[in-house]
Amino acid sequence: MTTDPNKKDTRKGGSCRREAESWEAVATAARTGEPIDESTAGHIEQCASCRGVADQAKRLDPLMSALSDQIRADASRPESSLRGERTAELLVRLVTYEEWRRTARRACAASVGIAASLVLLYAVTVGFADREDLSSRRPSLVNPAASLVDDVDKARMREDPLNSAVASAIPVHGWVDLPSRGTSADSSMWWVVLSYGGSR
Amino acid sequence: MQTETDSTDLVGRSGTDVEETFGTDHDLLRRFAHGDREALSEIISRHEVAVRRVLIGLWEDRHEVDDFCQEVFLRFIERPPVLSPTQELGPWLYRTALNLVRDRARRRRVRQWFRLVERPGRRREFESETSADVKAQEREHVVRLHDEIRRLRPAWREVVVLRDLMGLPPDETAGVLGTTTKAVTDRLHRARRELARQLDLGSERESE
Repeated sequence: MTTDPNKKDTRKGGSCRREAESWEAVATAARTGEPIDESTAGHIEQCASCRGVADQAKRLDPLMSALSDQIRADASRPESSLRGERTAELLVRLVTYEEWRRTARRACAASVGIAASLVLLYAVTVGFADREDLSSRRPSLVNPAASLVDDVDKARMREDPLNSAVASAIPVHGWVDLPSRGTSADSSMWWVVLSYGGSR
Repeated sequence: MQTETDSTDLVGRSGTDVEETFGTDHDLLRRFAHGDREALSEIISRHEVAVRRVLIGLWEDRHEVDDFCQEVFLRFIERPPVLSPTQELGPWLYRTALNLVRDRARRRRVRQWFRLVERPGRRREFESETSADVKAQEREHVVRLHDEIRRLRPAWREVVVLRDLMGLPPDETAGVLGTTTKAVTDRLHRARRELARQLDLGSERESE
């Protein structure tokens, strides 16, 4: 804003920065009957933008006042009023009913959630416990890092894989044709992985 | 343009008398929290007209205005706000009313998009300039003004209703809308210019 109140404070596009202030001053003066302050009045005289704005304010303000009065009269009509002890009582009863309904719905949802959790818990823990007797070192959901075999069993697996402790612990889902003797020693290892039904 | 909001909304009673007799909003809230139904009646009596004025300014359907008004007080009952001793309940109620109107307007836009609801059309232009009934002309202009206010973009419309129709001061308006006083001033000015343009009031900005 410039220091000279009579100069136009131009924005980009040619409007004046004081338009809002000019409008407000004119509208307030019209409402209260008090004169506009000298600085603003002087600026409005000098600035074409603000003169236009003041003119619009003078025309719009009475319409706005009339509309405000009309709305006040509409809002004060007794037909659609909520006032009264009886209506307050009704509103409170309505809210109580809504709260009861909401509580009942939440209780049902919680019951379903608890039942589903119990079923899941059963499937995860008890479901796996029915398997045949396994090596205590067998990896499980509780201890997935447990090693499937110890060093002794590893050695026995290389020599006689079909009769090793590992082979007896693994549930058999199917057999893979073993390569004939004479192939590499490591080829005898991979059949353990393919026939194991778990994740290891 | 700016009108008082408090005392004339209390039919037959002045604002100061009411507070002296029934206490401040904070006192009434405290009493209501302890189960005093009379306090609720007094709160409704004190604020209903003002809430309804806000809603009428924003929404054209009077039946829905009644529903909104009831919903505002239902929400108040379900979850009353916490006020400091000097705060008034009005701004909270106005904010609740604004939120209800915004939600309904959003749903209506979706329905309009699917052509389930007609878009409100502009009223016909006021044709007779020679009518001897000046009051009728003024009434028509006022009705057109109300239509144009409802057609403004939501941010401008809310500011016009709160500032120009309700007479709330800029800082209180900013509090209700959750924005700054500068933003309120800016939006109000743009809204007023747009209304003046739509109603063909005054000339366009003159060039020097």
